[in-house]
Amino acid sequence: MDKAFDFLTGVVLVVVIAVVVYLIRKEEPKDRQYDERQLALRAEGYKRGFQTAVVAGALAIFLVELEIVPLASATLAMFVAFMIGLVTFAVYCIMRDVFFRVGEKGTYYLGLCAVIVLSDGVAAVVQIVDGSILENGVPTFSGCNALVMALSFLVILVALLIRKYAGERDE
Amino acid sequence: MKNLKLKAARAAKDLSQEELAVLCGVSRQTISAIEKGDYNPSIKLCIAICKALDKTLDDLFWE
Repeated sequence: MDKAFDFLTGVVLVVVIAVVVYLIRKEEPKDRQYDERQLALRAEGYKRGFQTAVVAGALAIFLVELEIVPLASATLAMFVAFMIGLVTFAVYCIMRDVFFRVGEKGTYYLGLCAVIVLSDGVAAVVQIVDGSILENGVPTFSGCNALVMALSFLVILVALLIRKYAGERDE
Repeated sequence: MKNLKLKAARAAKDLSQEELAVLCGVSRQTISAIEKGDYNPSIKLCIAICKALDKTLDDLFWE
């Protein structure tokens, strides 16, 4: 019953986010593109994100699978490695003003990140308080994915806010 | 190397970086990067900038 309720809550949240994103994006012109400088730097961003994810994944396997340090479940370790790569790409592109297309304001991304940080943050706090974050003393994927998502999108949100206000000062 | 000729030509036309960027179909940050010398534009973008500022390639991009 609990799992069904959790699933239903998740579905409702996804639907709400999808509707909000649709309504915001409906207002934006469809012909926005990346310019040549943005494309070149985005390619560099993809490379750095990929390389970071590979190194983080290799380190995760080395530490977890060889049981050198019982840090976490293997699934959680690989998920963290993937999110580190994703955040690397996002922050690299955001700080070089190549995350958004030409003329795209990105306000809905800010709102979306805030919603994800808030919803996953609340879930993470609940899991920490009721102790479900650990299983037999080891962090697991099901216990920690909300925390990892909240922290990852918090980093992205902070980068977006820094660039937004730095950009306004430049102008 | 900074492109001071571009900056001067833009100022002479009383255009902001944002306005020039819109005319050329690129982002403001790209125009800023070109003026600072942090990015070398393609010939296609050079031509678009020259057309927007009524200048030749020699005027803006050749030493």
